[in-house]
Amino acid sequence: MSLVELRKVNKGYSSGGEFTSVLSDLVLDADKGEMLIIMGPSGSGKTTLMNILGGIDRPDSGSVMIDGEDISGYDPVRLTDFRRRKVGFIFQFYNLIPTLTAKENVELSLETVEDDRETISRRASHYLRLVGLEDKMDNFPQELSGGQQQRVAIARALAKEPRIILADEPTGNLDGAREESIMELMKNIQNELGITFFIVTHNTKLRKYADRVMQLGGGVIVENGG
Amino acid sequence: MPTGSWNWTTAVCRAVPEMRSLTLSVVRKNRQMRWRVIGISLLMAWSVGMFTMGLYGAEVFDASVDAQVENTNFPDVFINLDRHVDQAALDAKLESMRENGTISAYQLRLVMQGHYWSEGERHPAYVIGLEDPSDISINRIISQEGSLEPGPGEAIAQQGMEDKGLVLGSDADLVLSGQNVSLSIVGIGSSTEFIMTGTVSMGGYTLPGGIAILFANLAEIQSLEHDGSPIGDQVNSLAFLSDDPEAAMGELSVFFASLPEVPGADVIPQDNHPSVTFMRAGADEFRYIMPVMSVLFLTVGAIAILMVFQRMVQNDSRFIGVLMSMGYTNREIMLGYLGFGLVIGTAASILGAVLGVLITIGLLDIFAQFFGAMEFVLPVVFYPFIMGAVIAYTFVLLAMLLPLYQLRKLTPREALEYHKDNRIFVTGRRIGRTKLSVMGFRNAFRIPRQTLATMIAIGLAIGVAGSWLVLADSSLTYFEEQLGSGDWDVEVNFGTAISATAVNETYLGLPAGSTEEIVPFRAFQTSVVSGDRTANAFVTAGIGLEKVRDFSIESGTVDLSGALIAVTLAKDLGIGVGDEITISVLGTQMTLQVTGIVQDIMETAVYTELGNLPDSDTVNGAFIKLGEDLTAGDAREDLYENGNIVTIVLAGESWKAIEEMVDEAMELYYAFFFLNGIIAFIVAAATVTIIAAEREMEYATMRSLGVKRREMARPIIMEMFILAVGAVIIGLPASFIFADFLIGIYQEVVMYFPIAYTMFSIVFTIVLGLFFTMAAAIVPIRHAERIDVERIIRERTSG
Repeated sequence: MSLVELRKVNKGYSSGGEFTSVLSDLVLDADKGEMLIIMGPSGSGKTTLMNILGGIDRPDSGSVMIDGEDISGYDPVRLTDFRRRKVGFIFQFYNLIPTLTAKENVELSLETVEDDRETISRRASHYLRLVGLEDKMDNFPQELSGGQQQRVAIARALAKEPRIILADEPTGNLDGAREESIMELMKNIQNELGITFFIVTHNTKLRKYADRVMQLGGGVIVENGG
Repeated sequence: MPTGSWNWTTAVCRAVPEMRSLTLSVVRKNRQMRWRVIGISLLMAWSVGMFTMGLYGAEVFDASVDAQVENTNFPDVFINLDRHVDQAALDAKLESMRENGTISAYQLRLVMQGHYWSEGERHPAYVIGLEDPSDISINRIISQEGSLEPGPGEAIAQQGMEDKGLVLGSDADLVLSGQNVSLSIVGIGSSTEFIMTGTVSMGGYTLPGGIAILFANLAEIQSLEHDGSPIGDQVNSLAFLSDDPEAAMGELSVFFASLPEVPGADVIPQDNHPSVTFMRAGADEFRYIMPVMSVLFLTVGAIAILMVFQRMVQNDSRFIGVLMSMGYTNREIMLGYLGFGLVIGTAASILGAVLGVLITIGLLDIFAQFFGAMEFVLPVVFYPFIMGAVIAYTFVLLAMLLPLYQLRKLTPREALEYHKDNRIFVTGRRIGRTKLSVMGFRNAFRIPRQTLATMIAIGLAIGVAGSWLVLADSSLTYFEEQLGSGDWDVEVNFGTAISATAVNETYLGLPAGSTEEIVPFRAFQTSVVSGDRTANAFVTAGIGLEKVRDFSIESGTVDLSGALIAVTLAKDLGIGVGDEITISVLGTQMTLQVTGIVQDIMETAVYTELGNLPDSDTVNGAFIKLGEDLTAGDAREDLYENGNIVTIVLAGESWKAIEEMVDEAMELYYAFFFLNGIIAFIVAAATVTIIAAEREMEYATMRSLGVKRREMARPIIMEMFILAVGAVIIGLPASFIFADFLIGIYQEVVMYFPIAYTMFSIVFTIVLGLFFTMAAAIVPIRHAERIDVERIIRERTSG
């Protein structure tokens, strides 16, 4: 059984009295430990798909089964709980909290699932070491480079040990060398920890890291392959 | 050690290891916004300080008055007679009352009024003969210097007249009932009866400033003459302590009624004694006015918090979205943001408590000048500070409700997608010749809700400031009207009551034909009853009072066959025109119908015809309207020759003294006005700072386009002018509404005066409202001039 199963998922938005369909009868499966790269032009539904996978948005119809839970009918409270336990996010602009240090940013995420301060501190340190930032733990985001900030964001997403990680243009704000470094890091984590990655990107150079590449267009998957 | 990352919040975090990261992030955000947080906290702390000061100051006053009354065995009742009575007979009566327990202690006095010469100037003098000035069992004089046991030709001076030469070892040269008397000052003392240094109640009128109060042995004063005859063993004043003052008064009334000539009397219960009412009025002023004022400030502070907090939540939308994506619930995020309110509420509570105590102590120093040697007690009470903290947190939380509600409704997708200032309102109007002016005009309305909120915040601050101006102007207008209502030139008071028919130019010692009107009157202080309510009142009963006074009628008519009563007294008794009042006169009572309610500077005044009194021929004073040939100054010299005239008040001098008092009060009101004006400036500066911070990118773009630094000011000034005009439009009516509210409380607590809508208040509020608001433009102008164009363009356009 797949870790992620989307069946006939539909989603649209009304604007100015006009309804626009974004996802149409979308079907998608992803296995544990798989890295999927989702590509597609603007407006193809990539972000909407990520929002639905992450429990940020709900589909109009269809089922969204993740790790044995159908979250399509969840209310906001249960969706919050779902995100807390099973999802990690990585954003293009890192979205670190500027008033917290690198370690505190990771701890911020851990505090949603763990109460013990010592465990929180130990796990935050562990994941920052894992992303190679053991010497930057007490630095504030403004004291870090773009690549280092994205590593903190990855550590923050990983620390909760979620079942899936959703990354929206994770290298979109980085230069070539840092892009390679970040993707290598995520690939290693995928292999070591068996976490399923969904990565949205416009960058075709990242295809080489994917187990599978999906091309979205007009709300449906127009290409699904390695 | 991390590089460049140590700061106090990190230290707090380490000191409080359980502090959650979410709360910590908000606490650190407060640090980033420290000037705004400090500004708002100070405003709130000032408000809480005033609130706390009001409640705590009232406690200080109440405790101090209670302590003063208890420590000095201040009498329960004072009775000042307008005739001399036999000392032995009165002493025997009082001694029997003491033995049967009706009273516990008493004091017999002979009071002589006259004047005192100092450096060629004449000052009123009030000399009190006492059997034992050092007696501590009743009406204790507290020794400040020297002795409390004067011998023959010696006296004790009440503290507070040192600058008029009444110091230890000096000689007081007095004229009492036409006799020259010299008394050596052997002691300086402080009597609660005259605790308002330099202010004394005489014949129902409070005459401010420079009155010499001396205490001497009773025998010394009795050895003087009055109206050409030796006084002998007579007294004209008494005071007593009693657990049942009403019963004691009843018994004494019977005694006085049995005398061959029934004296008129001022009967002054302890609670109505000027010293006590003045001190209690101070407590009430603290208790009611300061908290009300503080609530106005708190409202302005709350609006500033609302605006800052709302912008903070909006600006943080993306981070709120990130927190939501991590699985934080809206409630958890809201609690995290409550840290912002917690910081302000806590700072305001602690600072406010400290400020409250400091301002109270500071004000007590000022009040000490009025209350002479009164020892102020600082009681240990916690409720003012607890209430201060409660009100601080309440206002902060109320201010945060709307933004928190918006946060609660926010979904993760909305939070992550928020784009700041994408939707702005653009008016099509073009005001001004240049694009910079057009921009300034349009900027003022680009976010209408924000513009309106800013105008309301600044407008309310202007309103609070303006209310003090309206208050000052209203009281000044009222006093001027009242002071102009007297149509007499000289008022005289007699040492001994005489027949009304005897009061003529010859008796007074004035040249024949030198007067236009002589209106004899009998004035006394007594209790007035209506239904189940009782009040102390100043009764003036005369023959043709309307000839020398223009009554400001609020309702009814000027019909002295009944009673004209002051607005405040009518309110205290809960009566109106047509109702009846019963006035107690020693030994008897009389009932009068209220024919008119008048605005009167003497708040508990009752005016009626002399014929309504039981003894309708006896008077103790007269109003004199002079003809053109005699000046008031010359008349005074003639009047001093009369041995029975103990006080002479010239209308001009009386008004001048009262005007001086009013001017002092006005200075306080104007000080409040300017203080509030500065607060309006701070509020304006705080709110426009937010706007300036949001427009950094626009300012940077303008600068990159080649707009000069000083040209940057033009759109900002235009925008601020529009905000200022809007704020003044809101502030002007607000100032009258707030003033009406304040005046309502003043009427209840301090004194009556109606609100006055004068052009001065309107113009001054408009001009200074515009000035204080426009002055705040300096903040965004400096901000726009100082921005780092390169950094902002780089940061905002990357990615």
